[in-house]
Amino acid sequence: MTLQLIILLPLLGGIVAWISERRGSSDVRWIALITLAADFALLLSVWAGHPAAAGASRVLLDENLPWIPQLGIGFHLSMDGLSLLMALLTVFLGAIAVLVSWTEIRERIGAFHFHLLACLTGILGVFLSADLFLFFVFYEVMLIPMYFLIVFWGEDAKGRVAAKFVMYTQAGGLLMLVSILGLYFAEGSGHTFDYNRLLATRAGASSALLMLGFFLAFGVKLPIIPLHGWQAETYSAAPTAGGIILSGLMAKAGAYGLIRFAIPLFPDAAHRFAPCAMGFGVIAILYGGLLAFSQTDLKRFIAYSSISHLGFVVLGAFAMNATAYQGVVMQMICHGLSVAGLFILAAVLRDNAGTNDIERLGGLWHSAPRLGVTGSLLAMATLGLPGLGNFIGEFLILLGVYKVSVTYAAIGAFGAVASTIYALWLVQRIFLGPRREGASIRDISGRSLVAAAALIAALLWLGLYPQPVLQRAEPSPRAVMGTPASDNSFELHPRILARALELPRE
Amino acid sequence: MLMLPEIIVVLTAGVVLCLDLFLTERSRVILAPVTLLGLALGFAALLVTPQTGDLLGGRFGMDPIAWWFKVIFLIAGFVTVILSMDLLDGRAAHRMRGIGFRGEYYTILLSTIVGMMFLISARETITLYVSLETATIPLFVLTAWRRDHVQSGEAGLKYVIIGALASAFILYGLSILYGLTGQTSIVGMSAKLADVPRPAFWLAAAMLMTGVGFKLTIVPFHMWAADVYEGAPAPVTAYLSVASKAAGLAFMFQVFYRIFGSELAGWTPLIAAFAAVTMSLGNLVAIVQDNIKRFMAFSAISQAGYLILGFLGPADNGVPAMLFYMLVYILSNLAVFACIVWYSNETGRERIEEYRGLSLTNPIMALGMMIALFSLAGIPPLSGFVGKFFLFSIAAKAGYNWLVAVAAVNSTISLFYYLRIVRQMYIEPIYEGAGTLPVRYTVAATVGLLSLAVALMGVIPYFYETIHAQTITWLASLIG
Amino acid sequence: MTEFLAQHTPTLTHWLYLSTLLFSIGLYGLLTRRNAVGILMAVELMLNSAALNFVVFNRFCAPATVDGQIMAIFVIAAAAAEVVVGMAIFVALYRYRGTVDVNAMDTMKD
Repeated sequence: MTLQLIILLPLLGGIVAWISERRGSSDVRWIALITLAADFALLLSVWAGHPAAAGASRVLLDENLPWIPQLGIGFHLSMDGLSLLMALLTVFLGAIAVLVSWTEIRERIGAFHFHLLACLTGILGVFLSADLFLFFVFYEVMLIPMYFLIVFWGEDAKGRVAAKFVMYTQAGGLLMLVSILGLYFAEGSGHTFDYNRLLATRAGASSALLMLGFFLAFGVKLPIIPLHGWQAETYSAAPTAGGIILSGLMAKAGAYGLIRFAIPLFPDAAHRFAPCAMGFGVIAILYGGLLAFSQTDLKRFIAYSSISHLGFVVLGAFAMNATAYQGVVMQMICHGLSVAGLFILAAVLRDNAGTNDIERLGGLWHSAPRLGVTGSLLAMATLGLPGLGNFIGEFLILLGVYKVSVTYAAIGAFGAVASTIYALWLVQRIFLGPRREGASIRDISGRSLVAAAALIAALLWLGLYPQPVLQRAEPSPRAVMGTPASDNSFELHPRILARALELPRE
Repeated sequence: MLMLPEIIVVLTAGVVLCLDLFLTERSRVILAPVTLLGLALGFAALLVTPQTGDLLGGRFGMDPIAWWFKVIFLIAGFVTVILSMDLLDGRAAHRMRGIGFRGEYYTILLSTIVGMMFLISARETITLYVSLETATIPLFVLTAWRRDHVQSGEAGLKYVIIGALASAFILYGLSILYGLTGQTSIVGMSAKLADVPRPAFWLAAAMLMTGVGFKLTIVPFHMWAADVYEGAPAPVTAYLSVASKAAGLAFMFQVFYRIFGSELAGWTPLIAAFAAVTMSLGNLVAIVQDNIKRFMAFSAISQAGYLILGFLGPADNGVPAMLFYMLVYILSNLAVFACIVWYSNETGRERIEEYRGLSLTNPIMALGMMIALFSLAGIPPLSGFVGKFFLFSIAAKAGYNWLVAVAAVNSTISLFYYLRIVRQMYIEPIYEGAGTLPVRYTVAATVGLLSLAVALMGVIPYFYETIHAQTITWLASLIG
Repeated sequence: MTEFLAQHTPTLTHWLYLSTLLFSIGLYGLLTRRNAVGILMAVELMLNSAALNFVVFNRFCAPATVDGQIMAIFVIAAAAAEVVVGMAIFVALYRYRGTVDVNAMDTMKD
C-alpha cells in the first residue's frame, strides 16, 4: 500500500484543496504543502527503513495488483534506489512550486493546486511503475494538468503554446506506445507488460526501431536538439510553478525513461545506437549553450541552458557504464534543483524589477544583495562549480564518457567550459555591470527566499557529501542495464564507437 | 421469452402512438417519460432474459454479443429521448421552427431502436434485411424532421438516397450469396461458402463491404455523413453518430463473423488500407470544420477507422476490443452531444468558436464535455484510451506496425482538434453579458453519469473482462 | 413461335444478365440524374434487380423452397417504404425550396 499511497496522496490532497476552496476556505496552499510534506515524510521513512548498505536487494518495495489480467496488464509499482531518489526530488520540487506560487497565483487557487498536485501524481507514477502500460498511462496523465496549468495561469500566447507542447509530447508518447506494443508482442511466453519480464525479452531485428520509439518520446521530453521546438515558448509562457515542474521534473521523466527503459530494454540496439545518441548529447550541450548565450529573456535562457545540461544526461546515459550512470542520476537531481532556483530568480525579477529581459536589467546587487547572492550561487551551481552538486554530476559523466570515448569527453568538457561563460555572463549582466533605469528594486524575501535557500542548501549538501545519493544510485546500474557491472563488459563498446565515427582506436 | 425486450419496445411504440391520438397538446409532455419507461423496461427485460438461446426455428438468436449490442442500442435510444424532450416539449430557450409531432417522433425513434435490436439477433437473410431496413428508414424521417428547415430537408434527401443505395448494394450482395448457396439461413450459408466459385463470392463480399462501408462511414463511402449530421436536428445527430454506427458494426459482425467466418483472414490488408485512409481523412478534414455537428461527423468517421482495426486480428481478441470500443465510443459521443444539444437549445449556437467561455458560465457541463472529448482523443486513463489501446494492440499483433504508427499519428492530430474545443471553452474570453445558462436536471444527470462512466471504465477493467469472457463463450458456440 | 420459345427458355445466365443490366442502369441513373425523384427511381431499379435475383435463384438453385420468393416480397415492401419516405421528404423540401435538383443541395458546404 505504501507505494500506492505515495502516488495517490498528492492527488487526494489536490482534490481536498479544490473542494475546500469551493467552500470558501483560504487554507488551500497549506493543504497542498502539508500533503506534500506528508508524502515526503513517507518517502523518508522508506529511505530510513531500507538502508542502502544492505545493498543485496535492489528493489526496496514492490507492489503488484492485477488490473487487466487478460492482457497481462498489472498495477505493478516498484521502487529501487533510483526511483526513491527521483520521487524525493519530485515531492521536494513540488513543495517548492507551491511555495513560489504563494503570492503569484491569485485566481482559482484551488484548481491551480489540484492541477499541480495531479501533475505530481503522474510524475510519481512514472518514476514508480514497473509495468509498461501503467508507465505509459502515468506518462500521459501528467500532460493534461500541465496543459491546464499553462493555459489558465500562464502568460502571453499561452493557448497556442500549450497546444504545441501537448502535441509534441503526445506525438512522442504515441511513438513510444507503438514501441511498447512491439515489445509486448516480441515477448514470447504469454503476454505481459511487466517490466521485469520484458527486461529479459530480446526483440531481435526490430529492436533498433523499437528503441528509437522510446528514444524519440523521451527526447521530446528532455528535449534533445531537433525535438526542442516546444520548449522555450512553453517555459516562458508557463507560470513559475509550471516551469519548475516542466524543467525540474518532466524533463527528468524523459531522462529517467532513457536509463530505465530505452537502454535496458534494448541493450544491444542501445549499444549500436550509442555513438549516435552521444552525438545528440554533445550537440545538445554545445548548441543549447550557444543558444543560451544569445538569449535576452531569462526564461528562454533557462530553457536553452537546460537543453545543454540535459545533453550531459544523454551523453552519460549512453556511455553505459556505472560511473557515468551515477553521474547521470546526480546530474538529474542537481539540474532539477538548480533550474527550479533559476525559475524562482526569474519570478522574483519579474515581480520586483518588472521584467525578465536581461538587456534591461543590470547593477541590481546594490539594491538587492540577497537576490544577488542567491542568483550567483545558483549560477555557480549551473556552471558546475566544485562544492555544488552539479559539479559531481558533470564530472562523473565526463569520467564515464572518457572510458568509452575520449573525443566525446573532450567535447563535453568544452561544453562545460562554455556553460561557465554563459552563467558568469548572466550574473554579470543582471547583478553587476552598469545600473539601468529602475535598478533600485525590492530584495528577495519571504517564501521565495526560503525556497531558494532550501534549493541551495540541497545543492551544497549534494556537492559536499554526495555519498548517500551515490550509494542509493549505485545498486541500480547492474540490474538496470541488464548486464553485469564489471566494466570489461563494455570493452566492445569503444571499438564500435571508433568504427562508427571512423576514429583511430585508442 | 428471448424476444421480450424487443416486444416491450415495439409495444411502447404502439402505446406512444395511440396515446398521442387521445392526448391534448399540453398533456403530450408525458410521452417522453412513457418512452423512457418503455426503454427502461426493455432494458430490465434484457437483464432478466437468458443470454443465449434461439427462437422461431433458429431465425432469432440471442448470444452475449447480441446482448451487449442491445445494451448499446437501448442506452443510445434512452439518452436520445432525454436529449430530444426539451426541444420537442418546447422547453428550449432557443426554439427551433418545424419541431413538433412528439408522438410520431418517439414512435419512429423506437422503431429504429427495435430494428437495430433485431438486426443483431437475426439468423436469417430475410430477417437481417428487413431489420436493417427497419433500423434505417425511420432514420431518414428523423433526419428530415424539421419540415420547414432547408438544411434538415436537404440532409434527409441525401440520407435517403445514400441509404437506399447502401441497402441496394447489401441486397444485391445477399442475393448473390443466396444464389451461390441456395440458403437463406446464415448458418446454412456459411457452411456452404467454402466451396462456392470464388469470383462470384468476391463480388458478393465486395457489395456487402460497400454497403456496410456506407453505414459505418468508411472512406470512400463517408461523404454523406457530414451533411446529414449537420442538417439533422442535434438529438437526431447524436443518435445517428452512435446508434447508426453501432448498427453498422453489428451488421459487419453478422456478415464477417457469421457468414464469412474464416474467409476473413485473407482480407486483412484491405481492411488495414481502409482503416488507414478512413482515420487519416476523417482527422484531416475535421481540423478545418467550423460547425460542431459537422466536426463531430468527421471525428466519427475517424473513430470508425480506429474501430475496424479490430477486424485485423483473430476474433477472440478483435470482438471484445471492438465491442468495448463501441461502448466507450457511444458513451463519450453521447456525453459530447448532450452538451451540444443543450447548448444549442439554450443559445442556438452550433459553431465551435461560439463555445468560448463555457467553462466560466457552466463549469460542470464544460468539464463533462472535456472529459468526453479527451476520451475520444484517447488520453489515459480515460476509457477511450484503453479502448484504442486494445485495438492498436490487435493491429500490432497482426503485424501491422505501420498501421499502428499511422493510428498513433492520427491520435495526435485528433488531440489537436479536440483541444480546439477545449481551448474555446477554457481559454477564450466569455461573451459579453453571458450568464450561467440553466441546465435541466435530466441533462445534468445525463452528462454527469456519462462522463463518469467514461472516466471509470478506463480504470476499472470490469467491463472489458466481462465482454472478453463472454466473447470466448460466444466463439465456442459459434464453432461448436 | 410458341414452339420456339418453349425450346429456347431463358436460362439462369440470361436472367443474371438481365439483373446485372438492371443494376447497372440503376447505378448509372443514380450517378447521372439530377432530379431527386429520378435518382429514387434509379435506386428502385437496383433494388428490383436484386429482388429479381432472389426469384431467379430460387427457381434455378433451390427450387424445393420458396425462401427466395418470400425475400422478393419483403424487398418490394421495404422498397415501397423507402420510396414513401423518400417522396415525403422530397415533397416537403420541394414546398420550401421549389426544387429537388441535387445539384442545388449545397447549403451546407463550408
